[in-house]
Amino acid sequence: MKRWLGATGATLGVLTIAGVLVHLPPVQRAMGWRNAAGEVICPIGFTPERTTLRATLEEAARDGARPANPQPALGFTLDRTTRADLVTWAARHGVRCSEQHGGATLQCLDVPAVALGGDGLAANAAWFELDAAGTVQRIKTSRRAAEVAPVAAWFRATEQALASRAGVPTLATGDASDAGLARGAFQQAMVEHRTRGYRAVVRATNLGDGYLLTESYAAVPL
Amino acid sequence: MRFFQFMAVSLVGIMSLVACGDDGGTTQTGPGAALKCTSSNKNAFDTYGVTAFVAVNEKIFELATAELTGNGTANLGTSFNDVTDFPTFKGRLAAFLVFAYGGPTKITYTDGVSYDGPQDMAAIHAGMAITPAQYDYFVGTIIVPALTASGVPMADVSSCFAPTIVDPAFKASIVGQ
Repeated sequence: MKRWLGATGATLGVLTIAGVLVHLPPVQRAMGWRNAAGEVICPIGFTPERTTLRATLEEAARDGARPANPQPALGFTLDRTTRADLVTWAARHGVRCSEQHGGATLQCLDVPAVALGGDGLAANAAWFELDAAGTVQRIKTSRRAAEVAPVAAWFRATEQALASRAGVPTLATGDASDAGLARGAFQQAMVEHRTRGYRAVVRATNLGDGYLLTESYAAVPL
Repeated sequence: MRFFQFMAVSLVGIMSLVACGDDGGTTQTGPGAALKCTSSNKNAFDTYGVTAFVAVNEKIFELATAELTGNGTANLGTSFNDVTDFPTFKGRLAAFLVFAYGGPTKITYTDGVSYDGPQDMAAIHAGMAITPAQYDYFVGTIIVPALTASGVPMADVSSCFAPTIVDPAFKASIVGQ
């Protein structure tokens, strides 16, 4: 009986030591026990589950830094639309785009209105600013017209659309009527809408030799 | 972002073109010196003074910085890499604004350095290939807001600031160089 107890104790001791050893990272590294991500793992199978949990937590943390709701802008979605999406979009609409600033900005020229989710003024230029992961963080456009009416109308329609989605503007200046903008060079109407994780600024400007409408939609880090 | 550096330089160039070839003498006047503000019937510099011009100049850089940083996106941190001497850049722009709108040909800016107002921008614009869209965007989103945010009434913006900048010859000297 005494011998049996001793053998059992010795076995348990060896198993305990072995159990500790297989969980030591140097041992795991030495044995080549790694998962697909290259992390050392427990060979019995618990570590992958823990890794998955950590990945889930990391993903949740990343999502928490994003706007709660998708932020639409000119037919795109800030913080969601990717560089690949833009390439596809440009090809579909026959839009010429070029990378600037080491690929951080995609500049597209002569963009039809329909390509920007509207029907009216084409954009002389649209700039897409991307983050390091290649996701669109900001979209800016510049549209020009010789007459005041299309710019003023576009401004008012855009403002109406923004207000219906984001509520009252956080800032509004100037007179956006045809007469107000036509009053003189540099007359300007501006509205800004800010919501959680989102900022939109629209301006209509009398440039003296025509009228300019600029839009800026940005995903704002929370 | 090199574009906004170019655009800021362009603003100087917009109003400096008239000065090109001048001898920089004390009797020299800027292109906007003869423009009268609606509110005062005097030119912009006589109406607002050097303090207001410094404020507008600072606002231009503030708005350009905000535009460059894009609300803290990935562009932050690399935007101003091309600007190697910011104080000088700001001082030169301020000096030109003052000169262009009726002030003296030389000012001492907030950094204590003296800057000349009349500046030949031709060499600076060479090779920049600024597009009309870029120019328009800069005027609409930086210049006009800088003026209005600094307290210049819209009527004065139109009467004694805008004409110099919207002059076709000025714009032609900046765009497509």
